[in-house]
Amino acid sequence: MTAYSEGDLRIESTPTEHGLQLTWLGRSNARHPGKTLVPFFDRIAGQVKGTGGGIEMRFDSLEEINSSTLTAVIQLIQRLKGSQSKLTLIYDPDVTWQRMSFEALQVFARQGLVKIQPAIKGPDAGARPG
Amino acid sequence: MLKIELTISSDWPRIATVRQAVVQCVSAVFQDPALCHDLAMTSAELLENAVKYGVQGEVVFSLSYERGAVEVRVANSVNPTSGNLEALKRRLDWIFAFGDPSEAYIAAMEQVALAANPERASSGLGLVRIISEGGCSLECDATERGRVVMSAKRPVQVASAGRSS
Repeated sequence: MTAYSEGDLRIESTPTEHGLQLTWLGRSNARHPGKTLVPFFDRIAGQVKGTGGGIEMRFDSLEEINSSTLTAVIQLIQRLKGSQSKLTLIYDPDVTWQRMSFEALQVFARQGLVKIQPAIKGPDAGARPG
Repeated sequence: MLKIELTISSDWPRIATVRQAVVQCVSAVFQDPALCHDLAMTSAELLENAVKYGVQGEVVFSLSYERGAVEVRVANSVNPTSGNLEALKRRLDWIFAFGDPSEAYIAAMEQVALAANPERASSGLGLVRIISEGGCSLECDATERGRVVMSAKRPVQVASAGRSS
């Protein structure tokens, strides 16, 4: 189900056994993405709070992201600091911009704030969105 | 041969249109999807900064390939009393102090995390992306009257240039 839609960006939400999976689709190129993304993230964090579940964000089908959106993602990582909800970001390691941006974001993984993983590809990657 | 030159009004929605034009033009000359993306990202980040921090008016965008390098240039005007020009120069000095662009990218992300105004910090992130992710060198030429020309250059191997007739 589409949980967020603004301009060229759509985020689909799917409940999983581990919490909530959010799949980013399209192009994230808004001027002030934080204005709508941060309240959306807060709503999602509220949904999983107390359930013991986590939030998995899949960026591997996203076509482009601007630095303002990366800023909103960093804000989300900071807002979940100290929360019980674990955040995992999945990216496509074969796409240069994804590999470079998410490797830089590993700085927050080293601080224990988020888990950042390359998408698993191949015949066993049933969960990978189209 | 590749040369694009456009004068656009400083409206945000036009950036996506220019970005798409960059992808189409670059892919017509180079068979290199990663290069297309890098140049499109570089173009969009420079234009976003021009629209965010420049005065409302015209932005001149160009992309050219010459002597083994692609250059993206964005020229616009800023209000000389806004402090934006000084902030840009400070930001570039900060970026150039890093020997390794990927270290600058990580440090910029940490700055965003700690910033009281993360949105303001995001423009610095865009410039770092251009050198780290885009593999470009950056130059800024600014006049006291507030005319700013940002130039991002990246070497491109001649072998990857299209030869199709």
